[in-house]
Formats: sequence, structure tokens, C-alpha cells
Amino acid sequence: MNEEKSWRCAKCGTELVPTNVIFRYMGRSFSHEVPACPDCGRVLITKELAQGKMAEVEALMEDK
Amino acid sequence: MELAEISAFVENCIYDAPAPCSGGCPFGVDIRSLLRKAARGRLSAAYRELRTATVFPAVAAALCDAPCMKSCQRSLLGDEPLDMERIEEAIVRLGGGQEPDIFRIPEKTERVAVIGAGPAGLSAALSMAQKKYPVTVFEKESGLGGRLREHPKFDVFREDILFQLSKEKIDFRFGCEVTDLDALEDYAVIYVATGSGGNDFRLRAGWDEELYTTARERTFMGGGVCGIPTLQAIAAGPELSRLMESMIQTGRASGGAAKPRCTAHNLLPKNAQKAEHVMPADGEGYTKAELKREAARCFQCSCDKCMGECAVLGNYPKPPKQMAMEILADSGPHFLASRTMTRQVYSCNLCPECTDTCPERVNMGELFQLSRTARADAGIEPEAFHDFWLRELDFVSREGFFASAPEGKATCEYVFFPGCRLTGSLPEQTLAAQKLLTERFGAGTLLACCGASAWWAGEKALWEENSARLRAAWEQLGRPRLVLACASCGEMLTRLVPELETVPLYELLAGEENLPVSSLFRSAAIFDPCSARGDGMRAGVRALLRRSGTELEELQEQGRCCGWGGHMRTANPELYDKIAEERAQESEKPYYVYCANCREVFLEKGKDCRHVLEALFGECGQVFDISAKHQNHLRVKGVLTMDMQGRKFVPERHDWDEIELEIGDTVRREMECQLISDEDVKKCIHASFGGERFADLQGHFLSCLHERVMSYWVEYSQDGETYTVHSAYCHRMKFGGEVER
Repeated sequence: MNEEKSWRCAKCGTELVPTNVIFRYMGRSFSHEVPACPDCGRVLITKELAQGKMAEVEALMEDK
Repeated sequence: MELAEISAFVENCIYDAPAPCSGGCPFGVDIRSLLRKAARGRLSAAYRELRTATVFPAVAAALCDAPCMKSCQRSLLGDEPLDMERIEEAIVRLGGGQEPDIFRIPEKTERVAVIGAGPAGLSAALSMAQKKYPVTVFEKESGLGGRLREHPKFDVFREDILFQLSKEKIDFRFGCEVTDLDALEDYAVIYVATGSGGNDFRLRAGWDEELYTTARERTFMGGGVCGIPTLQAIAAGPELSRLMESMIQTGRASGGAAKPRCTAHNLLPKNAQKAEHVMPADGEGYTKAELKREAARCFQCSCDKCMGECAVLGNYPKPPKQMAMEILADSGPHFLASRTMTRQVYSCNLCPECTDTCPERVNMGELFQLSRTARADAGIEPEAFHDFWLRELDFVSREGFFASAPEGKATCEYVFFPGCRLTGSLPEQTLAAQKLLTERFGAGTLLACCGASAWWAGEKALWEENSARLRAAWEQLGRPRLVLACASCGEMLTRLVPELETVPLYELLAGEENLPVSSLFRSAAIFDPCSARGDGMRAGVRALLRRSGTELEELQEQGRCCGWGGHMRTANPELYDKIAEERAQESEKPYYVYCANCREVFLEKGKDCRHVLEALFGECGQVFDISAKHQNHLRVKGVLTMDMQGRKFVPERHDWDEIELEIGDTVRREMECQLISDEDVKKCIHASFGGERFADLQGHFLSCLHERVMSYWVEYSQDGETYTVHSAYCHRMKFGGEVER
């Protein structure tokens, strides 16, 4: 899967828009902009994000 | 976690203990440090170090017969020990002549009386004078030196003594014999150092050889009058000054520094090379260059064996005592905790390698384990490190659990306990072993987990629940002996359910006649699992493999963890890969293993290897994926349920079981690497059946499943009843809840 794919929310049929989402791990939280359905709020985490930046931040928080 | 508890783990660590040579030194000179300085040509610094320890370095150099040389580790190589007599002499000759240190501290008013100007009295007098106490030395003779006066080198000694005393004001009263201590009532403390055969003022009976105190208030005694040899009498000076000052300040002699414990262990470095003893060209004393060369022969012995041998401790090289303090600070929910130890605590394989390597058998693994338990108790553990394994435990302990005596019997003398991994990894071999055990030993079966996953996660409630389950099954089967296929089960059960009597499967089979063992390799090395130490398992495996005719090689380092232990893989994948690859290369030959996990670790790393049970019961030829292992386990349970209880076992059915998956090799590898099972994927797809998913123009869907502490994502397409998986990934971080528009 690549970042360029144009995912739509299958339930609402809506295009996703960049949205600030709260992330939580190991007792800490922060917000980051990720694509989400503007109608139902369903959030999409891409493989690139999960295995890239998110994995890095997870490791940082596990080390903190 | 308490300080005392943590400290107890590492109190015997000798990382920072003086080298063996210092143990024999009457002055406790840090010989390692002295020789380091000498080897670098820093002779003034070496001299100062020698002077601080010996008080009168020329006297020490001449009189000391260098007992340190007896403990020199070079001797273990067959080399001459470091020539400390010549080295000491050269340091004094070449590095000496520097003015004594001047201590700029406030003058004291409490007066100190020293009776006797021999080596003991002079050393104590100088040490007290350096602390700026007004010292008076009473000497019945006309000059200083005491027993040293009879020595042929007394002129040299006298010069050294006067030189060392030269910066301090000491009131010497020569020709002044003290016959009544009451006459010294103006003095805050008295030190009786009247020499061998001197007046002991009838104080000897109550003399304390540790504190140098006597029955008389504020009166100390030491040196020759107490039978203390010359060098020890001089060496006692600095310690006496501490005790006398303590008496002056507090009315009690205490607070003497605990003498560091020297080690008598072999500290020879791993690749130590021989080096020839340097002889002085003139036959007398070393030149500076000769001194440097001889001092450079010192190995600078210190113990860092655990860091050298254990890949985890070597990866985070810190002295064990420091590590223990950091673990203490790091394992509770304190807001100041640094969490600097978290990764390391969960990277440990919890194998006993550090203990086996350590001359004092310090067990760092137990310390890491304690930290894991403390963190789990406090709710601050990184749950994702153990989530997968705890789910595996749950599977084997519930749906996969099976305990039974053989058909027609309620109890049995033996019960086969294959452990949680063997049934999934080598199902046919497990069944064959069970069949043989049932036929020859009347063995029942106990399909369960020993609790290792819960133990390694530090989850006490879980391992206690598991132990209770095992205990109940064992009672119900008439308390049979457990026949263990896995060494880790042996270690864990000894720890968690010690009342269970166990016997290694391989030991039992080795005693059986008419049990052919195939030769799967012409020549192979035996890789012992880390838990198989000191029991019959190792011997049994060797006895069986010898029957195969395979030429067997013993690895140089035995019983090292393949990388699996402690579930390091999820906590530290890079280190896991490094360790597994190193272990795979310990021999060029293929491995025989007898741990299902070792087998999979090595096969995944491309190392040719077989489980011993494959030599007995046929080769398996593959590594099953996570879901296939579950299916294998349930199939084993099904066969045994029919064999032993004559009934059919029907596995639980779930809504998502109907989903047919098609998974290519690349995606399969990615899933295995991330520990994502088919069941996770199916559940994830099933969760999207209500429309909760994303879609693209190519007809692919992307759905998400939040399961315990993990979130799984699956990109799939549907073709009739088949779901093709294009990608599967997971993350540990949670998201959502409060979406900001």
C-alpha cells in the first residue's frame, strides 16, 4: 500500500481529510495530523506511518 | 523493590574490586592504578600514589617482599609475575623527590600524644599532623626510627621519614620516657606505639585489634608492642588517624573505611598473550624505559566477564552495581524515574549465562526479572512487549489445554508434558513421542504451558493461575512424574510448581532399547538450550544422538540462549537478530537442537538444524506459521482426546473462522515478522463487515481491529468467498477518542 492511494470512507463514501488526532501510548498523549473521514471521524493509519514515524515514537516512549 | 533487596543481588560483584595483587599488599596499594601510571611514564603521579598508601615509600620499597607477586595473574600463563620489587624501587628513585602534599585545612586544638617514634608512631603522628592536630611524640631514645634503626639502610629510611615529615609541625620529645599515662591528661587521645617489648601500660588485655582501642579511655595502641610487623604498623597510620579523629569528635572510635574485598578469582583476559619479564640492563634497577615496559606487562585485571560474554550486558555495558541502582530507580511509578533501563530490562534473555560467567555467580537476569515483576505490579510495563506471548499462553491454557491418563485409566505414573511450543512446531513428532511413552511407560498427557510467558512478562497473577491449573491436573492424574521435552519448562516448573517431579524426555528415551535414531547429518554440532544446565537432559540427548552414528561436535560455549528467551524479540528486535545470527554461526556444521524455539530461530536465520525428535520420529521439514501452529496443537489435542478418552474434540468455532484467506509469501513473511496471525487478520476483516472500513478505486479495502494493546490493519480484496490479503501491519499506539476538527 502506498501513501498516494485515495482511500475513501466505505461507510460514508466521503474523501478523507487531514485531521488532528490524539495519540496515546505509555501514559503520554499528543496530537498528529492523519487522514480521517470528515463525517464519521474514522481515522486511517497508513502502513508507512505505522511502521515509520509511529514505530519510532513508540520506541522513544518505551525508552522513556 | 527495596534498596536492600536490590543491593543483595550485586553485593558480590567484583567489577570495581581491587585486583588480586592488591589483596596481598600490606598497604592495600591499588597496584593496577600504580602500574597504569608507570606504564605511561607518569612516574611523579605513580610516586604520589605509592606515598599516599605507604606513608614512607622508601621504607616500604626496601622492606616489602612484594607478596603481591604471588597473586599476579601473569603466573597463570606461565609468565614471570610483574617485578614489583624493582618497579617499586624505580618509582621511588625516578619519581620521588617531590615535596609532600600540604593539606590546607583549619588547625585543630585537640592535642594528640604518640608514645614511640618507631614506624608505627611516626606513621600515625604524620597522619594526625596532616589533619592539623597538634601532635607530640614522646621517645625514650635520642632519635626516631625505633626498630628501623637496626636496618642497614636506616640512613635512607631516616632521610625519607624526615622528608615526609618536613611539611608538618610535630613536637618531638626525645629522651623522654612516658611511664604513667595519667601524666598525659592534657591530651585528647593517646597512641601507645612503644615497639616490640615496649611498655604496654598493662593495656594489652583489653586491646581491640580492629579499632586499636584499649580498656583505657581515649587510648589507642598498635605497632610492635602488639606484635604487628613493621609494614603493617606503618600501613595502620592513616586508619588510626581516622579512628583517633572519630574518638575526638564523637567519643567513639568508629567509621573506619571498610576494606574493599579483593578477588582471588582468575581474571586473566580472554586473549591474554605471554610477555617476557624485563630485566634491568645494568642488573641493578630499571631505567625509565625499562620500568615502562615492565609495568606495561600488567593486564590491568578487572572483572567484566559478564559484559564480555553476555550479548545483552555487552550491548549496554554498565557496571552491575550501577545497573542495579538504576533498575531500582527505574522500576517504580516514580515521576522522576528515568526509564533508561526499560529496554534493557526487557532485552534480557533471562538465561543464566551472566551467572555462569561470573566468578561470584551474580545473577543479573534475576534482577531484570524482579524489575519486570515490579513494573507489572505497578502497571507501568510496556504491555506490547508481551502481548503476543500472553495470548499464546491463554490459547494453550484454555482451548489447547488437555490432561488425561491413558485410555481406561484414571491415573498414571508418568505424564508427557511437551510444553506449549512443541505441539505446534513438531506435531507428528509430539504424537509419536506420546505414543511411545504411553506404550512403554503408560504415560498420560498434559498439554499445557509451564508459565514461562507469564513469568517473563512479570505477570504474577497469571503465572499463579497457570501453576494452580497445572497443580490441579497433576493431582487429578495421581501425581505422575512429568516427562519434559523442553528445558525451559524444567526450569520454570522447578521455580513455579516445585512439588512436581520431572524427568527429561531424552533421558527416559536414552534408557530404552530398540529405539532407532536416524542419522540426519553426517556431522553436526549440538546446540544446548540455555535452560538445560546440570540435568540429565544434556546427557540424554547425547546418548540418543550417539546411536545415530552422526559425528557430534561440542560447541566451545554451551548453553547460550538462541535469542528467544525472555521474549527479547518483541522488546529489542535488532539485538535479537544479532544474537540469533551469532549463535547460528558458532559452528559451520548444522545443529542438533532439543528446544522447539531454538529450532525455529535457527531455521528462520537460514541455519540448517533439526530437533532431536526428528532423528527419532521423522523429519518435519518446515516451520509452521502462527496460525498453523495453533491448528497443529488443536489437532494433537484432538488425536489424544480420541486415543485416551475415546471421544471427539471439537475446537471452538468463531464467526470469523469461515473467512478464507489467500496470503502471498511476502505478506506472510511480514505477518510472521510482526507476529500477526491469520486469526488476527480474519477478525480484522470480519470487524469491517458492517462497513467500518476504507475503500479505494481498485476494490481494495482497509480495515482496523483494536485487540488488547495492539491495533491491526489489513488491506484486502474479495473475490467470491476468498479474501486476498495485500498487506497487514500493526502498531502499539492507540488513537482517537478526541478528534479535533
